[in-house]
Amino acid sequence: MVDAARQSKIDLRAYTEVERVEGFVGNFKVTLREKAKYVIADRCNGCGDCSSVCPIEVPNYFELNIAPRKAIYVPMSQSVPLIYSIDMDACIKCFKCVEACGPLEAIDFSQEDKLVTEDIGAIVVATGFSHFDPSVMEEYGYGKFPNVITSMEMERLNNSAGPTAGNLIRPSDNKNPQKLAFINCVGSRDKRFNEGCSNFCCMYSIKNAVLLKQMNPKVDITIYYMDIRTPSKGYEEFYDRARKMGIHFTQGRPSLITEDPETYNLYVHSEDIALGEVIEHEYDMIMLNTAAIPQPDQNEMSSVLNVAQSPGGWYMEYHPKLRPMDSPTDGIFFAGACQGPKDIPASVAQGSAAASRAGRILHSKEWEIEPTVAVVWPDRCVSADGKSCGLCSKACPYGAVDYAKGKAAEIITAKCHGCGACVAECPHDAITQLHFTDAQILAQMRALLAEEPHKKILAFRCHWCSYGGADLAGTSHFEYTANERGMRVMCSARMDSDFIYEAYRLGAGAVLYSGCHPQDCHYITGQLIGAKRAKRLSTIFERMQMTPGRFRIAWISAAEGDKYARVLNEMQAVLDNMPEEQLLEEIERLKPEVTKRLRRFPNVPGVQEAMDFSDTMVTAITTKESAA
Amino acid sequence: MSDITGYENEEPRIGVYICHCGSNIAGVIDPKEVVSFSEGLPGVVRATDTLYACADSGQKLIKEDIKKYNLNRVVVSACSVRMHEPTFRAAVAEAGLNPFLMEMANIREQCTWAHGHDPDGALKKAKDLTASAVAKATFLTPLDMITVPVTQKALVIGAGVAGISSALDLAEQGIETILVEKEPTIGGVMAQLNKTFPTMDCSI
Amino acid sequence: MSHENTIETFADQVKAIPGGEHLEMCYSCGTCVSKCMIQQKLEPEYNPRRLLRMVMMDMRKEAFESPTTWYCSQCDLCYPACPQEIHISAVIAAVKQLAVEAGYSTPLSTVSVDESLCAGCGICVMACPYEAPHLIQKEVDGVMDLFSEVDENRCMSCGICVAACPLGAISRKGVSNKEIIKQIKVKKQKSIPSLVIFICDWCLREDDDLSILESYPANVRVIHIPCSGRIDPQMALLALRAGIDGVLVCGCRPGECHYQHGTDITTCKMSLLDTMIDQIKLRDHRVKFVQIGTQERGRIRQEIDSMLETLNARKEPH
Repeated sequence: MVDAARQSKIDLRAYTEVERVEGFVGNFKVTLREKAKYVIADRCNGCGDCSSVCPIEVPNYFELNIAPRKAIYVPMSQSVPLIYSIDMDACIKCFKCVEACGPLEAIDFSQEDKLVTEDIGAIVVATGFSHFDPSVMEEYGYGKFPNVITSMEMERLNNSAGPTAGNLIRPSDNKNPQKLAFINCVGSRDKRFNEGCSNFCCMYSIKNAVLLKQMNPKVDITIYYMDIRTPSKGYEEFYDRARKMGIHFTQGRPSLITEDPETYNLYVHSEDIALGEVIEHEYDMIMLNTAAIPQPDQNEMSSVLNVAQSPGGWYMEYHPKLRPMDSPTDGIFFAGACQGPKDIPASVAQGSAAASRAGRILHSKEWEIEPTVAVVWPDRCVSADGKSCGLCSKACPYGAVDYAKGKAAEIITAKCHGCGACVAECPHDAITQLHFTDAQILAQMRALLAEEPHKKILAFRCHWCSYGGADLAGTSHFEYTANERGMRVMCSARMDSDFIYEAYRLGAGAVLYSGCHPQDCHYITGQLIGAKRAKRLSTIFERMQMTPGRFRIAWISAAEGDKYARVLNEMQAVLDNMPEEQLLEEIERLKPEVTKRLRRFPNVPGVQEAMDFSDTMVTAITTKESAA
Repeated sequence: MSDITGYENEEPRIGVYICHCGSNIAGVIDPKEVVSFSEGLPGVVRATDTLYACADSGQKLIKEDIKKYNLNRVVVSACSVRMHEPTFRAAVAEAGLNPFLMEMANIREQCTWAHGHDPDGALKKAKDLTASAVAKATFLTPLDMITVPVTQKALVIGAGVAGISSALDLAEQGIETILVEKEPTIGGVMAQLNKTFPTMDCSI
Repeated sequence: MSHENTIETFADQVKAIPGGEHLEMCYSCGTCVSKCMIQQKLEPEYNPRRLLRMVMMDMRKEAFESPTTWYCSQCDLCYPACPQEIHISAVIAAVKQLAVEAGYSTPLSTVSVDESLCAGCGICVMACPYEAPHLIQKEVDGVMDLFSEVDENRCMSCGICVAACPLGAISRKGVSNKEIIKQIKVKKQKSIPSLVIFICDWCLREDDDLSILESYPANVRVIHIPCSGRIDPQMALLALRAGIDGVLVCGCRPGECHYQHGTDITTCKMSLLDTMIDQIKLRDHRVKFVQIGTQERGRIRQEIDSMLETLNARKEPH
């Protein structure tokens, strides 16, 4: 902590929040909100005279609200930076602090939040985790029985810098507890609250038990656990040491805590798995090892940073094994528990790893980005003819379209992230996306639907989420119908209505339109554009009286392999439930309708060539297959 | 802008590589059947199977073939683009081909692994996916990476143990680093702890 | 490449029955075992966690013979407590269904119907939480008539039907009307009030609380019944007629009843009784129904003491 403050290259901004992140790798523009401290940082010498005269006391978050702080405060005496700040919600403006500060004149009630913008090349997100509130688990009586506390509260009670100077007392009568129990997995590995394992609690409870035992070998300590997980170096040995010290380990998840109304002692009811018997033991005090959960503002931050979340709310890395520190957005990296619960050694290691990943970029003067950007055919853009349009610019999540009536729209390449929203939205087919042109996509579709198209399910997936979901379905071996034929584009916003119509014109049995959940979209608002279009298509097909389920919209994240498999199997069931003749008859009936809507499609540059080529391709495929 | 479609510029000469991925793909379908299917597709001048396309030997095969058969497009039917697209792009680039003239078909994650109990269906799908990649490859155009300038300054959000460690490492590499913390003190949860395991040293 | 599974395991069979699907989610934490009170109070061998394990290990015979299969009364205290969200009682019910199909039958002593008294009114059918009784047509003494018949494999022996039967045609060994009425007698003393407590077997989880019951002198009479739903309001009136000062009925907190909704039935009955007592102008506060939660250690003492205090205040001449 102190090192960070001393390092000359580190510009430490405490009491500051990230308000907005714009731009792209190497060129982020970050807006920071420096919250008003009402104390001038340069003048405050951290003496604390102000705090000692302040008449207001409120709970101190740093002490888990079990001890008070003043309205003008530092969270702890070792705070870095050691600069006081005033909590305006609590302050009564008696100005005693101003008086106490005297000639330093460090207090300034006129301060306001300040917004500052910084140019940044790469970002490391290390926003950490929060603690599960066990009061929702009535069975453990937290908040009702005074001597049931959380381990974090105990951490402060047992800390020499804490409110009791390290004298562990129990809240009901301030006596030193002699018989204590820890309960692990409170709110974690629990489908009702948090499905995942919180990773560090086993070691954490063992550590606390060892500390207590070291202080007073006579205390009787039991740890209730489901499994003890000690997977890192030295951890199992540490667990051994705890057992040798006489700490009891009972396998069995307690189902209930009751309290003696007179002594405030507690009774833990659990099964002792080893005995196969129900046991009930009395304790002076019980510590709950609560689950690690995402920060309360993690959803908000995830939209500020434009990064996705895994189920459970943690930030989702690009690839769990190959690129564990990278977010899906180039230039943004994760470190520590914001990406999933982890202990101190792992967090430190990740901090270094993320620094190294970010360093690759920050040590370069230039960085390469994918050229899969949008390009305008100026001669097709109606804006050049003086007509007003601007749909491309409206669709772009990044303000990368330079649009003005009277000249052809232009894409600012450095700002373009390559989602393809403008390409699909342009009603005059005047924009294309490199590497994902209409011609390329059409040629792919034709090949996939060459044979028995009515038996096939053409699945459009966005690269970042649903393609990843399909990958996960495979790696998890969640089997689904082999009639699926997958197409990949970068974003659901690129899924042009023409592609969908064309699929039905070619006689596809069913079409899936899938992308990210709205909050996960890699391109900020790309999914919204895709979703709007999909909904419109769905209404149109409904009006055409297409059998429900032959066109399906599904938002599937990269973590939802099971959902991808389920959706595909449900679509297969729709086809299975239709007699073949009926399906073929419906396909034929709808062909003129969709063809009508494809009038302009062959005019898109390259599409006619792709169609001609596809005829050759289809012939080749059918010849090959009939020979086989 | 005619090079966007690219089709008219040169006759495609496509090489198709069907990966076994050990038994991950070959345990469900016979890659040789996909090879013989691919041989008749328009533009394909070379089709073969390889035990591991991503291994040195597989990459070497592709690189040699590019020269030997004068290939101007490459299709690799193997795993997910999220896995090995960078590998094969680099491989074709080493052989002098523009990396964007390589196209992958995902016949592992999205085929043999997802349809392990339907080998016939999986084979059909693998052929279709390969044909589809050949079709796309036909229309691929060479592209150059876009270079952008880099502001040599880092932002670390959150000054807990991970953020501090990250900021210190960046700073010690000589990079200007802004370390932002929303609370009045840095340290995060770690600062609230008593001793830490397994060494039992102080947390601050 | 076909991996078709041709042998149907015990687990497959259980999972095929609705409710049994989540069987394999169990990671043996033991929450259900200690949440349930059967092992403590009734049958030391009772252990749902082990039953689930037996199913997973294909131990059919052991599972069918296990008391767990038969003693679970589907109170579902364990279901909301299970961190894996397994509907344990439904899994047990699935095992029981297979056991019955395999010819096993319940070891519980269940209720019996006296056909000479049964009028076939069907009130027992409505009262039973387990759909154990049903009406059948049968010829007795040459006359076709409706009678109640109890499926012994469904009956959990709570006695709710015994209390519900208007003709006293159903009885359960140990808690028949006669056996209970016989217990309603208190050694009365002039100076202190007398009290009868009807207490269900399940509302006091802790042994400490049970010993509180025994700590009172002879003026307090404790009558144990399987469920507060077993109480017939008439019994309270009988007690009052016998000159006893007060009647305290104890049951489980709503949602925690060992027999699903016995305690709710008692709530209805007791409020009807209150109205009746009002109508016949008997002085108030002499009959009380309390519902005790699993976490309310020591509450029974407070309730008895406060009842005695009330009765005492009434007894003292003004």
